Amino acid sequence: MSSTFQADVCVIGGGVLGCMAARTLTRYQLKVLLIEKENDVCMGISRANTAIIYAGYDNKPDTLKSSLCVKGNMNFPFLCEELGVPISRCGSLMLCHGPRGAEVLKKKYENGLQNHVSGLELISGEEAHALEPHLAGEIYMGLYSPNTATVQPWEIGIATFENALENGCEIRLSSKVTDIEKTDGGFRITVSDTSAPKSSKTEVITARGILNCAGVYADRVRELLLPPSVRIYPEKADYFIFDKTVKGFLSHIIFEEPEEKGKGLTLVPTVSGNLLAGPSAQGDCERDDFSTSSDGLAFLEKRLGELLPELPLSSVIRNFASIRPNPFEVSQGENLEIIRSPRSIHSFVIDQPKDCPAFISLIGIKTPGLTCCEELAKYIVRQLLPVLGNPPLNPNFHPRRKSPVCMRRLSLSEKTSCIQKDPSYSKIICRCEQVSKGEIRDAISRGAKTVDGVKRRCGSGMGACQGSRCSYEITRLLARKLEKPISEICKDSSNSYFLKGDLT
Amino acid sequence: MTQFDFVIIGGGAAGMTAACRIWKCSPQSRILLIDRGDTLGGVLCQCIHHGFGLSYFGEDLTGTEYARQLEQQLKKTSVQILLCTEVLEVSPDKTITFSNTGGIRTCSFLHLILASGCTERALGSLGVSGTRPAGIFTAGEAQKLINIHHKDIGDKAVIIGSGDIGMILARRLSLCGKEVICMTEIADKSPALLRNRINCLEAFQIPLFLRTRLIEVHGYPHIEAVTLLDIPTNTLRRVECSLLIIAAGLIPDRTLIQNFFPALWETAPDLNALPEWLHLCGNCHHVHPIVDGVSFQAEKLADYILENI
Repeated sequence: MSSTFQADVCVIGGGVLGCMAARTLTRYQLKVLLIEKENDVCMGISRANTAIIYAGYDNKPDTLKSSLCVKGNMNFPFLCEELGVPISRCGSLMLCHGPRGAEVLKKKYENGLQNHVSGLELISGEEAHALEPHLAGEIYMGLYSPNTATVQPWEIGIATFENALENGCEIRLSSKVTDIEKTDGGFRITVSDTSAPKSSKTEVITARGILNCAGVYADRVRELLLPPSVRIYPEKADYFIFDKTVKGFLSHIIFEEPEEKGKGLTLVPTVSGNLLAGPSAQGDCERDDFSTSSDGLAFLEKRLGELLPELPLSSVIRNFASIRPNPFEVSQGENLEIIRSPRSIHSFVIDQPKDCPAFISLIGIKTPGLTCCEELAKYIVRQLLPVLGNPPLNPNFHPRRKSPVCMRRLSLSEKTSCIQKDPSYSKIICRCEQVSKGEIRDAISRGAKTVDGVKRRCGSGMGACQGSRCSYEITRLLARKLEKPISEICKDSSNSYFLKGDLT
Repeated sequence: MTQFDFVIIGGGAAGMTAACRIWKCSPQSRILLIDRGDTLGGVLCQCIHHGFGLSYFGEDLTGTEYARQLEQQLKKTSVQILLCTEVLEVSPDKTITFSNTGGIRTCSFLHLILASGCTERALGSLGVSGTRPAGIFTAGEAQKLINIHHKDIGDKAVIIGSGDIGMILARRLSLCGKEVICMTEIADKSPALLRNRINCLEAFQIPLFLRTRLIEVHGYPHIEAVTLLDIPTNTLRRVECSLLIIAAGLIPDRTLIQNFFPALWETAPDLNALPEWLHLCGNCHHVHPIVDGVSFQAEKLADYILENI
């Protein structure tokens, strides 16, 4: 038995939702602890998804999902402003190739009107072609939505996390929750250290409330205390990322509604000027398996060839898989075996047991989870506050994160003044994305411990060379700043050492 | 504002040769050579093997020796050299702003010669599925880590691509006591020079799998194996490894054009659309199989510009 940390509320899971829940909690006079099993925040679903802030016309009217999504979309630019994160409100164009698809578009348009989504317009195929001249084939009809937007999801998560820390939230990284017990005043949470393969270090944490935002593991965390009711059966799909050389190829987010049965493509001109294309057909997967499949990539190549034949596939710089935490209701059979209901749950599962109201779980938060992140966090915090006796507001809460220097987003005169203050902003380390030594040093001060942690904080290594020209220099800077031997610096998750050491 | 006739970006073989040639033919020209690194020579500095300079210098040199020969020639000229210097902006009004320990300066020029070399194709562009673990390097990155930084990057290597760069690295890894399990080539023959096939592959008995494509990467957080496809028979082969080297070709590095002339880049990244004062030199123009070709192209370009002034 080791030390005991006493928190008011423990947030389990440091994805976008967990970070947002932690930040929302710091608006109150509460001692907040965020627990994350990986060595950094935003390591799961939050770092690999379509990056879209949906307008809210997809969801059935009068549902929690539709109201949170519309509100989330409206408030997202303000959230980005507060957090100092760029957002591209490029708008979206949903298109179809025939009368079946047109019915779907009309239904979505009607949905949108009922959900109070503003600016929606049904447009003709010619008008759609005029908006996006590179699209090939016949377009039958389009649904234009000016408010659909895109962000870099991990930027939102990390900025939220940093703001939560500024407001007093505490953090345990590389800490996996292995046990939850109910006590008189709340919970006793056991976490074990995941930073080394054979570590047996554990810590006990007490909390009056728990917000379970453990993403693809949220059902497992819930079942540490409660009997199974919802299980996640994850699915994954593949995506391509194109180099910035295709910038300008599309100016809107494209949703394709196929005429025949099958998956339509989604194309996103990202904030950073890349193009994201996917998904391939979804398939069942393990919870941590972010590997892509050859079939998925072949499918994407074929479909992109049909929809955007002029888009050079040679400009792909990376492929990745995203995982959807698909929730299913389950029951237990006679022999305690788990019986899965045939259809997945469409809505967000917000679980707050009557006999244990201080333990709230968010399960199966799939699309449009990113759009709804702040609204969902507010929602569950509102549910929790009365259970904690309605704590007073935190008068020192400051919603604005001081956003870090980002040289490539500055004008020449702004760059000049940055460099005059600190010449390390001049020395370029990542050539593709023009990220300077100063920005990398800042990323490490902000909490990056790995090469990919630096990448997510300042954009290094995201270009065409995918870090092959800057990873060593970044590893060296990490080693120096963290005072570790260079052989202990990881590329990404624990034990992904970049180098073995010196040659002997 | 200081005025130059020629500003050359990049102090590798191309930039140095162009600077020397312009000075030789037109000694009164005001020439500025800028490089981001702290030494001249660019990628040649990590090429400690020989086989360079046979046609340009008429002798068999290592890459570093080739660079030093050019540097010695350059030092005899009036070309102004700025190392550790980053270009902040190039503007269409023919000015360039750069920064180094001396501060930030803007100069005007009549001609800008981009000699920024080339970059390697990385795994992400090869359409390979699977995981994204540690233990994957491009050949040039691996060469730099071994030759310049003296780092150990892994033990059991698979090398994708059988061009000269892959060959040279296969030999280097073998000499470091590492096992090169195999090298793969998508085409039906290796594009490498015969001497490299003999000295780097056959000498170390490294198998070369022709008509073979890398399909999938396995393992996480560190690479454990790859799946290779034998194209003619359509059969898959799993090869255990702890190091994957991508030697799948080079692409001209025109990041500067991309950054400073995005409009130009979007409309036509082809060379005919460049403004008449902007010139691409060496591997930044097209990738040359040997460095001597880079020097010859740089001389030709210098002559062309001088003739057309």
